Amino acid sequence: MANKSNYLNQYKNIFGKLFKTNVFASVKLTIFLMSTLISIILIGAWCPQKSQVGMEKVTEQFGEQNALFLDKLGITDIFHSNFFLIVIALLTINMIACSMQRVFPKYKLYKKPLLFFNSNQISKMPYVEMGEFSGITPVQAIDKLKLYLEQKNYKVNVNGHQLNAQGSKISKFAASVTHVGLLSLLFGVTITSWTGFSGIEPVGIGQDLDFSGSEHANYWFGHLPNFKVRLNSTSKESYASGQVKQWYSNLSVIDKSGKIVQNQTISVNEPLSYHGVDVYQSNWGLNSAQISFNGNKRKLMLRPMGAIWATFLPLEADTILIMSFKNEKEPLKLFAKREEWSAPKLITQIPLHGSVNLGSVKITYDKINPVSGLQYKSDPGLPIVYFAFGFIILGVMMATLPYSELYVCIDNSEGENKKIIIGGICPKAPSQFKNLLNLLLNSLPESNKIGQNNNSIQSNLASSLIPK
Amino acid sequence: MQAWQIALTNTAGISSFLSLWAFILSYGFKQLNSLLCKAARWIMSIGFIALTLAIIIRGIEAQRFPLSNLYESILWFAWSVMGSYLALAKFYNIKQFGSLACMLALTMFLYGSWLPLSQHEISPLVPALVSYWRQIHIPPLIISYALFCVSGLAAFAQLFYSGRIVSLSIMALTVILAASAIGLGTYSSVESYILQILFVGSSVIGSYLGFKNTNKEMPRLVNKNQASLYEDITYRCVTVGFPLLTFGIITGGLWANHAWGTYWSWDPKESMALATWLSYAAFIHLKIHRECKNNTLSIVAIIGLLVTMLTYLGFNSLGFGGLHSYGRFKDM
Repeated sequence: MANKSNYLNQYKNIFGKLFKTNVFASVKLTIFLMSTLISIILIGAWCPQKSQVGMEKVTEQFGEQNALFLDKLGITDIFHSNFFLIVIALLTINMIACSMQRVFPKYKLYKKPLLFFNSNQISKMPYVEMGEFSGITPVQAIDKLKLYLEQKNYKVNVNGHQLNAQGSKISKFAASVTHVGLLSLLFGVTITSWTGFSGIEPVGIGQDLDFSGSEHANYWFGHLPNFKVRLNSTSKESYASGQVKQWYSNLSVIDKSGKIVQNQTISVNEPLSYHGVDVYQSNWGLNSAQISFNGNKRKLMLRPMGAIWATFLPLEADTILIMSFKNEKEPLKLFAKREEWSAPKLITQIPLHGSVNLGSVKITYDKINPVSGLQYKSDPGLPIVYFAFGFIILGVMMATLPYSELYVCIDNSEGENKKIIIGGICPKAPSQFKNLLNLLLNSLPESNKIGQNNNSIQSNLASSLIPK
Repeated sequence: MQAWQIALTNTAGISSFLSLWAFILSYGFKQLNSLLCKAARWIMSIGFIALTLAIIIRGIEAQRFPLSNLYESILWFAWSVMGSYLALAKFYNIKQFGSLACMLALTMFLYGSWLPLSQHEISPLVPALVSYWRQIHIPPLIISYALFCVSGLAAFAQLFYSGRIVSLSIMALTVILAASAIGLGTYSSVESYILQILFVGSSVIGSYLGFKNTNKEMPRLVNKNQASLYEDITYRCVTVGFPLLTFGIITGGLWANHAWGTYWSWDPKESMALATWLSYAAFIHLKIHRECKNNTLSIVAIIGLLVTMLTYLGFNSLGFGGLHSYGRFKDM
């Protein structure tokens, strides 16, 4: 019993230390996890993924033995591997921990006014300009600097002979907005994974798409729709060169009572949407042709051969009859190929519903059956994902603005020449910031520089000024 | 119309060449330095205007947005490099850095001009590219890649002015070897796996040695102000390029979702864009949280340049597959 209690205390200590040392909120961990993720992505991009292109492609690229070895290592499906998921999970925990500890608390500082610092404190800042001026009083100088900074969109506060200013204050929250976006993205993707579904099916004219063959995650608690999508017609449009320009499919949505509730012609980039389900034109092909031989109807299955579809009919031991189809409108081309010929020879062309006599056989081209590749999906997390996309874009755009804090203190001692010290921080654009400090000093009458300080290794004071 | 477009593109290419020489001469003739730099900038501006017109004319001739294949993307890339240098020169009053920008633009012009004629010709679009999303998704990506490359060049300048000549030389050799792999992959029939080993091997070894030698300094070359200036430029280019890359990746996701019903499919090019995004996200975190020294950060920026090269040209020329085959012209 006592031993068990000791073990528990030991574990408590370890976890307590982990959290005390902010292991999960460490930027070093972020960088390590990002680097690991980059390495995984590079490997995944290098090796064809079997979930996308099939294991055949992996075998074709690396040979059977190597492909099996890569498959054993999990590299052929690396984006679904436990290792990848663990890295993503750790990065999420890291992002949440960083956001909670450092990023989100910045909101508390939004309305908190900046402090005013004396000459000694300003001199320890990363970028400092010291100078003298004459001809105007310290209050007039502060007013002049205030006006100058306000023209540069700085938010300025004045306290006697001291001044502080903040530039691009909004960029302080860039990280918060981006992190909210990234966390929302993960949330949206999780919702889709648990409740969404997707699939792709070749559908012939007059056939229905009923979503029964859809794919979804293991832990799924969504439901399939109770409507069907019927393919009324489909066609291919080509450029004059023969290259495919577009595929079209006319679809009807049929509800459970059999009523047509929506009709739409879709094409690539123009999907149909109905009750949260989207149907896309994914590809197009010719499935089969109906040909009559002396009046006997036969359905011949077609094989894709690049830009055409064809069927092969062996006539004799060394002769093959080839029927080639370009699309659903153009005539059938009839070729013959004998072993001794280097290429097939065109015998004739038969238009749709037309016939030719080949010896004693009358061949009639009755019908062609195109097939439309329809892809579909239901993505309930999509609104959250779009919201996340918006936040991420907004966050990274806010980050382009360089946040800066600027402090001025004028020595109020007796005498003609007044001493001034200007300093501050601007981690994102130090060079421009140093120019600004110079310009501020030069804007004062009869000014001259008496010193400069670049504490390029940021001082403790500067570090304390920037909330991490 | 086509003759005008070719003439204007050639003008831009020749301008980069002349501008590069004007910058090179400015190193030698110290008295004429300012005049030569000014002349170089003017020549580059003429090239930039010519290239802008060439792209517009190509669009009018094609009756579509002129960004659909590798050649057109290279024109946009060169345009972005020239434009970003001219903007930086205005804001930061930098001079001879233009020689690096000119060299990059000229390399891209040469790379583009040696592509097969089929790439130069205006060809019809495949169904997947017939969408208004094309002009929203692709330009930000190309411009971001150009900005990341300019950022990498500024990182070289930062290393130079910090006196880190050993690191600079190693990283320069690394980039040259990686670029050679891409060049060989584009114009020769060298086996893909050899080129992949050349690219990845040189990048990994070069980066490791680059990091290891960041402390070796040549004090007589150190110019702290210039080093700080180029550190600033490196970061500013990343902070402008990063939102563009983010926007490009996200609009690509929106397009894919609109066209194919999925906003992410782990296509190699998509994955590489994400790897680039993560690389620069890491760079920004390192910079903001001051986790490493400026010279080390410059090495990170140059690694970012290598990742950008791999994403933009490497994946197509080094024999990787994927849906984004617009950049490919050889049978794999």
